[in-house]
Amino acid sequence: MTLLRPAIIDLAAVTGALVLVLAAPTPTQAHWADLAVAEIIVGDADARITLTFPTGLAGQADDNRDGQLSPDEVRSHRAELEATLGGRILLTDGAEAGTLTVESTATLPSNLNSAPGTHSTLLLIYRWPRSVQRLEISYGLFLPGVFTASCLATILQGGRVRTVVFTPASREFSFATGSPWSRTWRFLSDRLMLLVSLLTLAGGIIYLAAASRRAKLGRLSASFARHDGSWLG
Amino acid sequence: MTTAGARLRGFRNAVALAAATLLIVALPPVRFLTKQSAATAGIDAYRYRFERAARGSVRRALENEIAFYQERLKVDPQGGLDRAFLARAYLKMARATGDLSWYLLAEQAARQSLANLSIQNDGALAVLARVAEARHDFAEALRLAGQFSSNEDALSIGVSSNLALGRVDEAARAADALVKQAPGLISHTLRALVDVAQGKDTEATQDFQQAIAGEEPGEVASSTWARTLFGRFHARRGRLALARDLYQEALAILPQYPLALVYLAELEARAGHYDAAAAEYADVVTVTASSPNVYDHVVLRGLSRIRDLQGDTDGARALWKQAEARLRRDVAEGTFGHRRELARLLLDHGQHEDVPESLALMRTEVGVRRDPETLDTLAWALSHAGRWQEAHEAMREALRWGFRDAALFYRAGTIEQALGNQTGARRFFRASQETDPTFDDQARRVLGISF
Repeated sequence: MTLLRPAIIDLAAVTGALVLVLAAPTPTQAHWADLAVAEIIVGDADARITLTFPTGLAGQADDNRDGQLSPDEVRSHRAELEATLGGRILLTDGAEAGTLTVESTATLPSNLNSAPGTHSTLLLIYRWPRSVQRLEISYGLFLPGVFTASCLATILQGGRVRTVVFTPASREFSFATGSPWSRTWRFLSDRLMLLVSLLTLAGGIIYLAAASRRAKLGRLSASFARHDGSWLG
Repeated sequence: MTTAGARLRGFRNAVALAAATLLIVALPPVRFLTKQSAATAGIDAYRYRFERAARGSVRRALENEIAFYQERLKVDPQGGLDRAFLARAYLKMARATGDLSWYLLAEQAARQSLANLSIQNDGALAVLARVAEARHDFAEALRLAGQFSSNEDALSIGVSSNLALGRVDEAARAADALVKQAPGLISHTLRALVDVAQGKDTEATQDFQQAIAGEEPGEVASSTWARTLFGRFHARRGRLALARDLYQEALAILPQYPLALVYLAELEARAGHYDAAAAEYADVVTVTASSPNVYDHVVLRGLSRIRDLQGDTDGARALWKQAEARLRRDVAEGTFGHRRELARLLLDHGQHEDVPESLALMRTEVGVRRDPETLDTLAWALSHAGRWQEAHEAMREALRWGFRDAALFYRAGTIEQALGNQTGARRFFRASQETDPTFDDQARRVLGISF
């Protein structure tokens, strides 16, 4: 797939400036403990979710009670986590639920990890035996009785991102991942673009070669012209 | 003698002309701007010179940026730098919308980035430091900034975090170094904030103007941000029309920019345009209606005050209760909660039984930040508790760097009055009026300043 670099919009986030410090409200911990976020990447026959959630929702796996699930804790509680998370975050292709595997994510070096842990991040991989035409997400991983709990999910599919917010009152989201025809068309159009690029490149090379040959011929003919007389002579 | 005098005058004129020319050539443009007073420069000086983004286009562009880096990470999931860029894009979205979830996304992406690439990864460190700042963990932000290899990012955080901690001298050093190293919209705006914290109005005006004069087309939200803060500065000096123009200009660049909407609502309320103020607050809410937002409690409190000013006591009470419930939850949940905001809400309510709680909240809060507004709230709580000498000390610290604010001067005046220092009180009341001649009873009601 051809990737085009998007226009970068500076929001004072990069080098700048925290407006919030002096003049505005700040996030602080406002509902922080209730929040979850998810990056969902939809593949042909799988969906990968990088899920960051309040650790308390899987507190049984947090053996050392540090507020974060370590790779060791994930390894030793994998089955429990798959059962807990799989029961509350359900992905189906319209008919069949995806098979869930839970994996840990890389951990921060200790010199950088000083903030108290409240959330954990896990990789949830849902797989299907065949291509997925439609994806239905049922998200129910909320703190019980907390109406302000939510999960912001970004869903990457077909080169674009859509944003969905799951709340206790809004748990379902479904979308078509593309018909076989559209996937075939996308495959063909990608190849076609590649072919056009190659042809353009080849054309350019041929043109340059021809131009170079013409220039050489021009120089030769000029040389011939200069020496015509002698040759005829 | 006449000829000699004429020659002398001619010589003096020539020297003066040469000196003036030298001055014009030698001084950077910023010095020119000091000649223009903020009040007379006019809004034309602050017009956005570039093509304005269409409504919704900024968000779309950010979504494209997010998609771009997610696509790259799909190919290379371990790509530390790409994930740092993704974290930065999330942070931009957080800043643009005020939605807390984007901060959480930014933080987790930055942590993942650093887990994959722990050296030479200033981008991810900067995002973590920004999120720490946003959560009021200024010490952590400065600690992270100390690990940057890029001085520019570290200086930028050095300005904002030190300002929040009340270390204005250190913030000023960082701001000067930043402007020297990377003069531009952001660095000048940051230095303007330091100028404001020191009561250096001329320098602040000059830095704000220089910031706007140096803006570039790609800095949409920074342009909006700078104008909003400049507007806030004018509003604090009673130049309400200019402040309004700047807020509106900011909103023309980035419609629904929450900070500008909140400040504009405040101006409308001061002018008695309550319906217009409510409409501005309503616009903030629609930015992210389904997600918790950093502006939630501000909107609820603002709407509550408007209802109160309109005489709808029950409506005001209901909204006030919502704001209180939200803030109480925030404070109970976290290490760095909205203590100051809850204390202000309680003090504003004026119930004597809330005073001990407000005081306890502020005692804890000043352990985290010591900017003038935080110290002012502590002084407010101490005043309500009748501990006037301690309130006096808190106000003295709040004003020690020269910060000028009509509300703070007014409070300082009432504290001096209570301590029997009539001369000091008169001096502060006069300073209050000089700082903002429009700071009247209506302004005090709208700003929720009770004594």
